[in-house]
Amino acid sequence: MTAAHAGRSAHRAPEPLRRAASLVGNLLSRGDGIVGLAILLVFGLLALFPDVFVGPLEDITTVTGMRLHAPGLGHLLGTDELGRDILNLTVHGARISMAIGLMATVITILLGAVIGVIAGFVGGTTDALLMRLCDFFLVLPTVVLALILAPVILDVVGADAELFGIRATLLVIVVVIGLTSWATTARVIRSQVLSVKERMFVDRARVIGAGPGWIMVRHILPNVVNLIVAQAVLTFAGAVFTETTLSFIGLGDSSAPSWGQVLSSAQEAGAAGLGASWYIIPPATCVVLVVLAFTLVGNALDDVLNPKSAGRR
Amino acid sequence: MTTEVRGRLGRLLPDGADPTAPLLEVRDLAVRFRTPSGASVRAVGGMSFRLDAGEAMGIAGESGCGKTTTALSLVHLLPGTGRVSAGSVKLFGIDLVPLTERQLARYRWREISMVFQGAMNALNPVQRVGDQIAEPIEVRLGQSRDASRKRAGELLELVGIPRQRASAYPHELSGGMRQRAMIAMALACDPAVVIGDEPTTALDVMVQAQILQLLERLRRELGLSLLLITHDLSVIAETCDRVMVMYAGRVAEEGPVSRVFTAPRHPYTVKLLSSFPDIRTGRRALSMIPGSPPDLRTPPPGCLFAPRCEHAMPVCAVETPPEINSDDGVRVACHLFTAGDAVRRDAASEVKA
Amino acid sequence: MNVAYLVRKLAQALVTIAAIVILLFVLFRAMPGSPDRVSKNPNMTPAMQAAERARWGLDKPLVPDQLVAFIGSTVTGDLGTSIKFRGQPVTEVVGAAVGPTILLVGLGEAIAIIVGLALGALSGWRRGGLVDRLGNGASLVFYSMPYFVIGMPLIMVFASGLGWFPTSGMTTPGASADPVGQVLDVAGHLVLPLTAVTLGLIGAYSILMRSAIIETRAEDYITTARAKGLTDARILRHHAFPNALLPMVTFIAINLGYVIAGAITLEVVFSWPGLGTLTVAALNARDYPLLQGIFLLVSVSVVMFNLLADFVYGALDPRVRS
Ligand SMILES: Nc1ncnc2c1ncn2[C@@H]1O[C@H](COP(=O)(O)OP(=O)(O)OP(=O)(O)O)[C@@H](O)[C@H]1O
Ligand SMILES: [Mg+2]
Repeated sequence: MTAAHAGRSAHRAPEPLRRAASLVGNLLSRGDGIVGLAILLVFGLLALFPDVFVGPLEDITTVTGMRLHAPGLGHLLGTDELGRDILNLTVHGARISMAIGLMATVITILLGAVIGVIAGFVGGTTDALLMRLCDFFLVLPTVVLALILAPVILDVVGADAELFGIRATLLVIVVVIGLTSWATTARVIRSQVLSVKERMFVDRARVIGAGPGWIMVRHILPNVVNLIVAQAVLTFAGAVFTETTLSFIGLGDSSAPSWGQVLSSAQEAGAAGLGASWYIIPPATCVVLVVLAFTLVGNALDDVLNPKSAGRR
Repeated sequence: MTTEVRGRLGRLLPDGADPTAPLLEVRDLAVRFRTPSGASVRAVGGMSFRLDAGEAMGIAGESGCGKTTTALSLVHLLPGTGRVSAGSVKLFGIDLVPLTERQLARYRWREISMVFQGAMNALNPVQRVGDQIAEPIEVRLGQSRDASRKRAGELLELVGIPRQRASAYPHELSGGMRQRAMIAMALACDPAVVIGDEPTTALDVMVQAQILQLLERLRRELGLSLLLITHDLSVIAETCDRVMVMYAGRVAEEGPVSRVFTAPRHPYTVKLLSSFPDIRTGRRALSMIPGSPPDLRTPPPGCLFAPRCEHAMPVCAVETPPEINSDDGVRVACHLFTAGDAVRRDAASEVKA
Repeated sequence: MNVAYLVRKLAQALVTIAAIVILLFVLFRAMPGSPDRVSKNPNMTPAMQAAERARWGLDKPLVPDQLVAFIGSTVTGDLGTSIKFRGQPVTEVVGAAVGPTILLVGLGEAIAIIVGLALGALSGWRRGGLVDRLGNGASLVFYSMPYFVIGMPLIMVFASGLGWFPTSGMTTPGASADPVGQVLDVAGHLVLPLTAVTLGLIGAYSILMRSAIIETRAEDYITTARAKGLTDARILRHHAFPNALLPMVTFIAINLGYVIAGAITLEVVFSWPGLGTLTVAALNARDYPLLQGIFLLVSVSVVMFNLLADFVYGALDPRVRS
């Protein structure tokens, strides 16, 4: 037994590397995968080093332009109603939008994976109860719940609290997205766990005397990791989408403008009515591109990683 | 204008039919599948056979040897990337292979119909059984809705299901009844050939026997021609006139059931028969065939069975064995029977012994 | 239809609604705008404070008395009074906004369902064909766009730019009084937001229907239908579509549940006088009773449509029906 284990773990080291390499290879062999990855690469760079591209985020005290000015030499994408450079705002928006998306995704996937694995593996009453809980959270309307929860959360943590440099107002968005989207992930992962559990080796491991925790971590988890990755990418798309919506209706933080927040300011300034297309098109295009790219990559991953679902999309 | 040609039961045959041609004659049929990685699988490689009017032929062979693929390719029903890459399929002397989808539609179900293995999946779960049987009568034969419903009821009775059950959904019927309904559906347009692809595999032994009796009766009463695909050699022994044994997409041996089953020639047929429990003697002389079928993406040269064959000779690994027709109507593709070589004939008699 | 199935689904729906009401109660007490705090509002006269405290039973224990009182008033349709619309019951304020939203989003859903299902079915049936590549591409793009991202450019081009349609609202103040003129006026206001809402919804329907059809196409009964010599169109219409529609029913019904929550951002962009605009107004005015009313309405409608989905599914799928 020990020998067999040693043999297997000796093989394990290169395994993830090989898997990752073949995964990227598979993704790159698909048109949609390449397009998605390319877009994400660009936005990833913008989000990591916005200062390199456009300098520090402009605010009302450091504005350089005239108010609501059309695109021109000094300001390639024009300015907003405070005179801030739209290009500057849009690039910094990438960082804020994607940071929120990332945090919301982490919460969603952690909750979803833990609950999904437990429900699927333990089964019985635990499973039934957890699935009823899922049903309940699936019914809650995200946006309206966010509006109600926002003041509650702000009250609890205090409006000026910060976490990883993210202000409490934005944390509300993160928490709400996490709360309302984990249920989908949990369901998907649970059904995968159920089918993994059916397979022989779990029984073998159980017979040998491994505890349920060990089986979950050592045998179930590696078999649902693929699904979790694909699900995470898709969740990211949804999180950016929802963040944009919530910021637009006023839950955003004007001192940390995400794309939704910029569009919200544009709406308040009446940009659409004034024909200030330069104020609207850049952030709107970014939102669509990023959500689209995550969706494309997520679908491609899902196809590549889950032979069962291949051919569905 | 071609003259009208009428065949069995005075049926109107398609334009261009030759009444003197064999009912179904397949020559050098080859089927390829493209795999996602770009490779090509030669699932069927040069099959020839013939089915005469009123005849029942069984097709036997290991799983994956291409039985279903052969059947589906006759009327262009191959799934996914499957294509007929060579050969001809002549029905009443008309070659079906080069026909367009639209031209071919004429032959589906009206001339060649099928009974698939799992009727649960082969029947539309959200349509009433009666409607599914009536559909081809209405759509393909242009009969009125009432007439086709009535005919569907008759067909159900013919296969032993009360006509009231026409309004049932597939899941409301038992496995055996579903299979009967599937058979009724296959008879809807009074086809020249009915192909049964393992029609009884999922059923218990009693029901299996009933279904086979039903097929046998229908064949006698309606003069059907039957192509019966099955793993179960005893089924073929009981219901078929001739048997064709396939290996890796090719014909290994073909001939009258009485000859092939009592005096098998091809080493594969010998193995196949001995791996099957002999019901009459009650002796379970199960002998496994060692090894596994070749990878059809890269088929080796020569006889495909050679790597597993006890009698393999040097030539087997090099040359594809020709099909030898003998006087008693048996056809075998094996170098042991290539004429004019004393050594080989000696080996052949050894196989028979 | 199977009675036990119906009863079980109904019971589940009731439990969910009860859970929502309890959640509301918890949130209600935790909120800055909770009655506990409102009743301590220094701007209120002591008499008003006392009335408020009596109304919510604040001097009694939280559980069970206050909870029971809360459930009681909620069940009888008393959702409190709005802060923004001073003194008006929440039920009335919400009720007035439901109509325009249903007109806009309901109509958008109807069009999007028909077009989206048809587009998805055709794309999936001829996978990789022209319809698929164009249709699925467009669906993915629209699926990635929040409603307001579709709406703002529409206003820019067709309202403020070309001037073909009004930029905002549902009616022109002081427009003609005759019924035909009024209908035309509303229709004119409806075009752009309806276009945006429809485009925003089509993507999801089309993408899901496409994968449902692709899944169905691989089923054995489709091979049977092909073997029967049926035309492609007939196989799609009579065999593939009805089966692929089954998983869609649930999705459609759940989506319809969100009609009321609807396109909040879109209403804001077009100043459409519906629930979405009301929601944002309530948020800006910190009108918590109103927000809760909206939350309750939306989640209950989602639960009800879920229930409807189960019933319709049961009616359509003979396997569930018996
Ligand atoms: N859709 C497909 N794509 C690729 N290859 C296929 C496909 N269908 C069948 N094949 C290949 O064709 C070969 C023959 O398969 P087929 O289903 O005809 O065998 P069979 O004799 O009917 O087997 P069974 O007894 O299990 O039904 C198999 O080796 C398989 O690899
Ligand atoms: Mg088969």
